[in-house]
Amino acid sequence: MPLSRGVIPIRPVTAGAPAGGALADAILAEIASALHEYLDTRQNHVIDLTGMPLSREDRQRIDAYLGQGEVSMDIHALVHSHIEETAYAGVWRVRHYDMGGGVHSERIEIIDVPEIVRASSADMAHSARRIEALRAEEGA
Amino acid sequence: MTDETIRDVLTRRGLSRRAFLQVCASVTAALALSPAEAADMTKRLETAERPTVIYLSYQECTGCLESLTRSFSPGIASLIFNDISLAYNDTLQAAAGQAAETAKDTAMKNAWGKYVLVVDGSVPLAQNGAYCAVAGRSAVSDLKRAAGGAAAVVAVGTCAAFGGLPYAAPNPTGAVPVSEIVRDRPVINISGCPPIAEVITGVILYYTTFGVPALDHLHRPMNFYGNTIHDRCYRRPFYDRGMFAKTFDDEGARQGWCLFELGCKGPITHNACPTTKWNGGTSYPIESGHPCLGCSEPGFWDKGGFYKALSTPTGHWSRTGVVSGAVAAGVAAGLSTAAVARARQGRAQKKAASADSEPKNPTS
Repeated sequence: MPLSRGVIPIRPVTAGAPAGGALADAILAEIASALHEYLDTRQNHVIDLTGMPLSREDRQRIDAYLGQGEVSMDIHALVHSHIEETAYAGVWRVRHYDMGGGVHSERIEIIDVPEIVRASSADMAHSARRIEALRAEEGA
Repeated sequence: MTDETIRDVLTRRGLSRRAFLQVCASVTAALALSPAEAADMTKRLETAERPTVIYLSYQECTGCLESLTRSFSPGIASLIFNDISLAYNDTLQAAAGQAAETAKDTAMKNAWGKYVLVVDGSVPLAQNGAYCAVAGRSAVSDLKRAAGGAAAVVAVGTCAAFGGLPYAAPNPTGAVPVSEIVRDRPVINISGCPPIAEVITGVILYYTTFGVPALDHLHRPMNFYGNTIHDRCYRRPFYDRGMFAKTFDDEGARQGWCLFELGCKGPITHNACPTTKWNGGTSYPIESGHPCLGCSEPGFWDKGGFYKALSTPTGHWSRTGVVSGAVAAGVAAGLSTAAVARARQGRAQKKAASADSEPKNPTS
């Protein structure tokens, strides 16, 4: 007799909760409306995925919908942040990582360039002072 | 207290505005703020004065402080809490004896009327408070003195918020929660045994920028305690279909079905575990296959057994009306509990929006 389910009980486990991917569809609709809003009013929009109870299907669908775009950037400040444009111009995925490499904040931003990328005036003023100090030191 | 802002502290440490925005992203994500509120918070944090936090411990097990300091994203949580704001904590500091008492007095004097007082542990009243004394002073008199100079009091952990384990029957030390001692200023309860680290730091930063957050009827911030575990549980679809694990090793348990019949207190427990999760967002008890114990609710240990289903008679009578009301609602229908919680959250948010039109600034 060949080995069968009758001899060795095999319990197939179906993956995932029966939650579906409805949230992913809602997020896509929100992105579309935010793009219009930005074009009309220059008001940026942020969708914070961190606290959303997304199912695995939701995540897979979001990834499949948004795809990959032309730009990706890394910020090494207090923690590591990875920023990439999606296949849609002006729709960015911004992830901040914790020290252990886990994602502790994940958001979709609808804006021309994510705010965190821009150099701030305060930091640029600080840079000017540093360069002047360096030149003074080398000149002395 | 200095006039230094949080942004100043980061700049002094050589960190850019980008680092500051990373801190803001972490905090606003933890607080589940809307995009508009998040932008507002970032703007306020630029100019908000660095908060002073004084942390006192009474009848407790130090689990709450463990939760805070063992946070899996030490970078940001500890930066905000330890480096920026913590002026006194008797467990973490190196000083002992008279030097420690002097440090506490100095920290209080420097920020009198402005500091956030974090209290961890319940306060015993029996035998004139003799069950818990620090430097010859009972916990109750120490708390009254420290609360006198606080802008707000944050009761961290179920012991400080609701009496906790020391309050369990027969409560030999006459333990009471902080709110029974401090009656003349805002008390924010951050319950949980222990609470989630991100919730503790998030509430303190929220207070710094916006003032007292919207609270539920047990004085817990609605941002984190507005929903029940059951409301946001990923196993909820199984509950709705009546698919329950009956034992810890049956087919239902293996398939990840609802743990209600194994004693899950999710339907009557308000906390952020399903969304914020634990250990850096790894999982939460139900995700690891264990029913919720209900640790953020008053009297969770006196409910007759962690593994008895909510609908099973426990033979216990709860001592507080609030708790028995909540249990009754949970037994009647998990769904209606969720509906009530959502309605209450909506009401409290509206109330807070109208009350907070003028933001509170503890430093002005």
